[in-house]
Amino acid sequence: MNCNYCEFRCQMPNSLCKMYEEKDGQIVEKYPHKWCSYHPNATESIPIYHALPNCQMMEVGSFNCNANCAYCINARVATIPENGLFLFDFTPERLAEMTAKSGCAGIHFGVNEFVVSLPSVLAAAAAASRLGLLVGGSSNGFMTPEAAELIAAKFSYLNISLKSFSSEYYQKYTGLPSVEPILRNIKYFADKLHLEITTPVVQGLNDHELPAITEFLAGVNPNIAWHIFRLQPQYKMEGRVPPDINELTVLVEKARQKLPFTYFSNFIGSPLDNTICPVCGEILMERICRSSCGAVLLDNYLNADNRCARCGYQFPLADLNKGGQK
Amino acid sequence: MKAIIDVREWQATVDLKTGKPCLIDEKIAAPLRDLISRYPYPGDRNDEGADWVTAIAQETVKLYDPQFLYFNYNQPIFNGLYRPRQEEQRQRTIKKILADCQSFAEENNFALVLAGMGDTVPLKGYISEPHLKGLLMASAWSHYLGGLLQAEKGDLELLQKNQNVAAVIGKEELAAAYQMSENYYKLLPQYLLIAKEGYSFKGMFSHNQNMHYTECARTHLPVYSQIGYCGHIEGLNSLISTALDQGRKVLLVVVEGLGEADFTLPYQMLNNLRGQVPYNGYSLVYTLASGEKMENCPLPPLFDMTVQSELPRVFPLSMSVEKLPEKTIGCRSDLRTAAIGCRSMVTHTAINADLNIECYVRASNNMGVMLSLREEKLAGLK
Repeated sequence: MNCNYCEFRCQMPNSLCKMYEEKDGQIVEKYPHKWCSYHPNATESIPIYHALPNCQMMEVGSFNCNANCAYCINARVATIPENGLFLFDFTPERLAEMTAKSGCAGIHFGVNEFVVSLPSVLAAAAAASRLGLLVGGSSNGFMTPEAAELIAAKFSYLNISLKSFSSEYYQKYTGLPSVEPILRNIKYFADKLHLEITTPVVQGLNDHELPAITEFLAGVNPNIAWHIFRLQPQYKMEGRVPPDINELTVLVEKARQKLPFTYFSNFIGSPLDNTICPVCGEILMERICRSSCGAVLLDNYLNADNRCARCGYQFPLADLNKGGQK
Repeated sequence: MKAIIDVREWQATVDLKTGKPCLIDEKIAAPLRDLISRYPYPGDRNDEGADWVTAIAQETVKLYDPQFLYFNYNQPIFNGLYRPRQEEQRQRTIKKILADCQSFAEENNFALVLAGMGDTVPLKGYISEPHLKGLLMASAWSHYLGGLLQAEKGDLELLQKNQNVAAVIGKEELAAAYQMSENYYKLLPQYLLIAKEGYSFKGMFSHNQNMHYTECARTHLPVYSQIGYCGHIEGLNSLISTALDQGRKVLLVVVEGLGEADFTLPYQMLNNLRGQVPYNGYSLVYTLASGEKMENCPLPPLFDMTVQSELPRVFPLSMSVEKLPEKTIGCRSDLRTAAIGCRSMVTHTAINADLNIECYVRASNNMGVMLSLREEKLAGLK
């Protein structure tokens, strides 16, 4: 029997992520409702920049991953450490209840690849929906169309990490065999929910691909928020020099000509983390990147109907509270 | 207060209050930019972080000649916290830190005051209390502290019955006993929890790494002082202020993870309690720097991080403070002051010296170095 959650479609009992097994003719989780951490986090830190400004989401993670990125900054939960990991055991209802109590707008499944715990994630998402909470996640996008459909039915937004535009890079540095399923899923989700993309750049390895990714994303949605990360390589790439900011800035500025909402972050004080009006150049939303991943919102200058206060440009801010689903 | 942030081969300059880019007097900034570009932070998992403090301090003395100087070292606590303890290496690091501080003070004519924040102990277990209906929050720094938010019926009984919980202290109980600011009250959890020795809370905001050793509530802390002793941690600031008033230069050092057993300098044990709550982390550093008691710190010993910020956001790089403290020795207008620390944000947020140099690490990710400065005071930079 094959697992159909991610595109590895592992034949049981050899689940590559070590999170699924076959039981009574069904693929089931080995560790249902087990979570490694939970904490409110600003949407901008996820990063999600074009929805829910200055909101908090309860960021929840399980453990393990279907990828094995050489530079992973979360390797401590993406691979089970030798001494194990303390895991919280929360029912879907308890997770949703805690999210509501904390004042968060919803649950964000992040930290590790949530598809490795998809049944628990979907159960928690259903519980969250019953309490009127939103659901979103960060993913490497390597899920099957069947899994994508299940996710699209429950989630309001996603941030997909498009790590490269070449299958060769994916094979060499992420352990995933092909970029194609990820590109397919990006196109699929762009029509179904609010989608943002993140690309961690390892200089010398994938920075030359940014123009090709620009073209691809422009074809998906020219207003998409694209987060280019200056990767601080860890895990197997620890010690590698992080990308040159000035050189990457040139590439980001170039990308902005086609994708005006291209951001450059994952380093403190980035000047390219603000949302700029593509018509008049006014700052629409001002942020500061203060730690790894995204940023925090310093101020929101959009007027009440999300228009540029200077020229009236209608900024495409997703209104997830009105359903979120497209 | 302005800040220069160095993320290796690139620097940004921001206003600490607004978080927005700002201009800075380059005559003042140039040597400081050069300084932090030459000393990238080696990281919390690397004992070279201790050398980083001392090396930057030597340069700071040459540049600014501070009369009050603060150091923070965290290497002894990180050796064992999230990875197995390497005892021999830890002992070597502690010895080196103490020797470096002594020789630095001697060479530069500072009177040395050095406080250990207390040793860590092997972790006996976590307190996660899965049947609570309220929200259990943990601290990413003082791991023996926990907080309960939105408690419901039965929650208190559960915690009080838990044999690993030493104390459950109500927010209202603290508010009735002490006068505190509106922000302090807002950020104080509904119940402040203290774990028994060897136990650590696991809840919302817990680090997802396993712990091997943990801090514990210390009623007394070891202190070495060349300017005399007092019975309580709260009194040290007064001794330091008096010494400074007498024209002496003072070096205040806080070493995290250093307890009585490894304290090789002559020392006295000073009372470290405010009511039932021990000073630790930010509250300890702030009280040493200001003489203010715990309830007058800008932040409670464990603060409710579910409280959301309103826009425009202020001090986005300075923990959850509404403003930088004004009553610290670091702020004294009649002195030149500097602070150097391995604990992100705390250095400038608790000391607020004329010149603060701190590592910029979040969740164990080493992002760079931040230097914040009081421009008007640094006009006299050499």
